[in-house]
Amino acid sequence: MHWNSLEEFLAMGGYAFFVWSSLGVTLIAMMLEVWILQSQRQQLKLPRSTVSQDHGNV
Amino acid sequence: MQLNWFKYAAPASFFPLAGKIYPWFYVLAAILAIAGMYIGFFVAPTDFQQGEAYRIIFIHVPAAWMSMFLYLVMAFYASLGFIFNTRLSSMMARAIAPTGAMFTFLALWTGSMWGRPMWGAYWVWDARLTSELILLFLYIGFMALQAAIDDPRRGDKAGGVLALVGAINVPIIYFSVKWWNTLHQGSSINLTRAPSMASIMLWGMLLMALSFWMYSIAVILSRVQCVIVERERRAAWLQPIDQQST
Repeated sequence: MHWNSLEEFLAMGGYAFFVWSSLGVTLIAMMLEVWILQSQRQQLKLPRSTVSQDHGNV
Repeated sequence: MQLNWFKYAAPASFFPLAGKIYPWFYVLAAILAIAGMYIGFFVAPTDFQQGEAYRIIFIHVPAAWMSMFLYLVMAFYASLGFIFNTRLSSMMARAIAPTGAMFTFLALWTGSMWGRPMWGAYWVWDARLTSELILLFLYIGFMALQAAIDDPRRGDKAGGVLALVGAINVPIIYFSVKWWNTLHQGSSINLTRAPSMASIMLWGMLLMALSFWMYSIAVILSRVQCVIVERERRAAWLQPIDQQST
């Protein structure tokens, strides 16, 4: 760990805008994808996951 | 004992398998992301030339790798669909496209965020950036083409042709930094030479790449379940699900 303080970490050596917007857009994109997928599953009446279910022959 | 290679080629048998395993891939993705981001943001040292801005590499490179690899996997499934005429193969190709497009967009976005401080420009029409942008258009074109065709089997075939024809773009992206004078830097990781970057940085990148892989598998398996249900709605094996309430 080589950050001396939280402010230093957030500042990213002056590149805060570029680094954090990269990370931010990535997180938003992935969360959006999963959210869209989950609502599609819900619409199709699919269970959120079928781990705990056994459809027998299905 | 006879192996049935095509056992899981039937949507009905693949569907529950996908449903059982995809959540675990989300878990793996999260664990690997935490490890990768920890290394990338807390362990890896500052770059001598680029300062802290280089940390974008821990997202940019894995996203770019995923964008290319997912396209090849998509094209592979499309070709399986043509060779064996299995509809599940084409369903897998459909399920891959949105995630591939997302990673392509992320590679372009993070690359742009890195380019502005380092090169002074959000965008240049250099060979790698341009061919990656074309990759995004190919993904979107694939999805748009299939959405525009009503008959799903015809859509599978049309999309499959587009996926296969577009596959030439992936080696172009990969070799662009070698074939042309590009602003984008050359490859640091090669099959034949030792990597030209500090190993701790390489580790961060590899962990993030694995994390994105696990995430992709989770999302794609989940999405293919949606594709299967939409396409096979009236099949007898799906009636129990239709009648269930969640």
